Amino acid sequence: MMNEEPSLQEWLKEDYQKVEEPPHSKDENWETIISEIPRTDQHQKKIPKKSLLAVAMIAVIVIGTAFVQTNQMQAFDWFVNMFVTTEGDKAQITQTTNEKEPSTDALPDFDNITTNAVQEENKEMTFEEAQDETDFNIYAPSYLPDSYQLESVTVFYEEALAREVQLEYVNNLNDVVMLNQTYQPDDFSASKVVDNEDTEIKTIVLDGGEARLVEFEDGHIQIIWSTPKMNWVLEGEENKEQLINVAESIDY
Amino acid sequence: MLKKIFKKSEPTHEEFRLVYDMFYSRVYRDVYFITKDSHLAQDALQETFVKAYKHMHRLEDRERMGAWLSTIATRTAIDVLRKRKGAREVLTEDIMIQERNMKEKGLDTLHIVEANLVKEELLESLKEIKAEYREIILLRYIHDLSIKEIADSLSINESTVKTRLHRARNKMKEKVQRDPKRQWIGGE
Repeated sequence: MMNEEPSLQEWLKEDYQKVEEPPHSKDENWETIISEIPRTDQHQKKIPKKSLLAVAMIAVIVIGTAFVQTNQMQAFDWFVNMFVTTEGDKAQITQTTNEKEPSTDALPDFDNITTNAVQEENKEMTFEEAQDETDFNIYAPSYLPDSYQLESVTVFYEEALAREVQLEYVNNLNDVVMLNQTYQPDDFSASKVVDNEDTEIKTIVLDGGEARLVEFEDGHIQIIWSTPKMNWVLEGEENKEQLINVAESIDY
Repeated sequence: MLKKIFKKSEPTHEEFRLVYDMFYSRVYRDVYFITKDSHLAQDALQETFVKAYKHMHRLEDRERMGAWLSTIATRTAIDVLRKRKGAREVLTEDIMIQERNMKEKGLDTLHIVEANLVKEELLESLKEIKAEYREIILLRYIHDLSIKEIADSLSINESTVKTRLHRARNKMKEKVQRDPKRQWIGGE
């Protein structure tokens, strides 16, 4: 009997199929659409592949050299450095175990670049199960703003090894705060590019060390920092003081 | 077949017509789900295909064309709503908890009647929900996109997707619980 009960998804899919027909027919709509797009099927100009490659290379060189390296190199901890380079409306945040800033004036040798497909999967489980799954300690904040409670724990696997744990907290208003910790025992370098017209990046003090606070236009906030062999991201739409308090309450 | 269609940077009209035929119905249902108005849906349908044509060369995984078109469709429908309807949307919204409660109760006659009412109310409340929430519900529950896929497609954070889903569910739950008809039938 229970199986005969319609599920929410079935209701929604049923509702999705119920549409009032459009005022115009399918063909009439097609005519309107093609009147608004350029005709490209005749005398289409094809750019030779080699020319495209050359243009792409020049673009990469221009972009690479144009990134102005500001004085924003900051040591995050003993191992991980963070650099913020800005150019126009773009900002690039780089985390790396290298001591020097990443060079942007020399292109890598493309022949030496290899790409590897990495098998990733994730599993939701209890905090205790997650701890059993990982070779590193999982830490949770001891402070959370009013009514936030742990909603889920997700372990992310890379090549079958548990490398990242995500703790998701939800409050009575269904706001979400997420804490991600990623185990990083080896040298690494990672970058993200943000639009700095819509995003503000600040350096903040976190428990005596430094962290980056990224404020997105939609009110979303990320705090990014590192500890030995571990990278952290705390994010949500809580106010930033509260998020900093949460981050500082993690007792490593 | 899709791989074959787009060897060049832009499809010809004939090639694009094949895409139109394949996805016309899906795109129209998507934009109607958001706008709940056939005239606005038609406008959004046309704009969606014009945008899709212009940006087709950016699509990396052509096997994902359906999901790609759906995200263009929902964004476009929201824009059309904003432009032509004004902000008259009422926040309403949830679902899963209600569904779970119903399963726990079983299916006696009273509950069948109640289930039908709940269904009507939930679907009715969808029309009043914020368009951004309908968009997430469409992509998640109708097209079965993962949280990550939705976040990537809409260029928003995963936690924003989750927050919208949570809020949508709770608002709908509140609406159903507040409805006087349901209180009378349920005897609570």
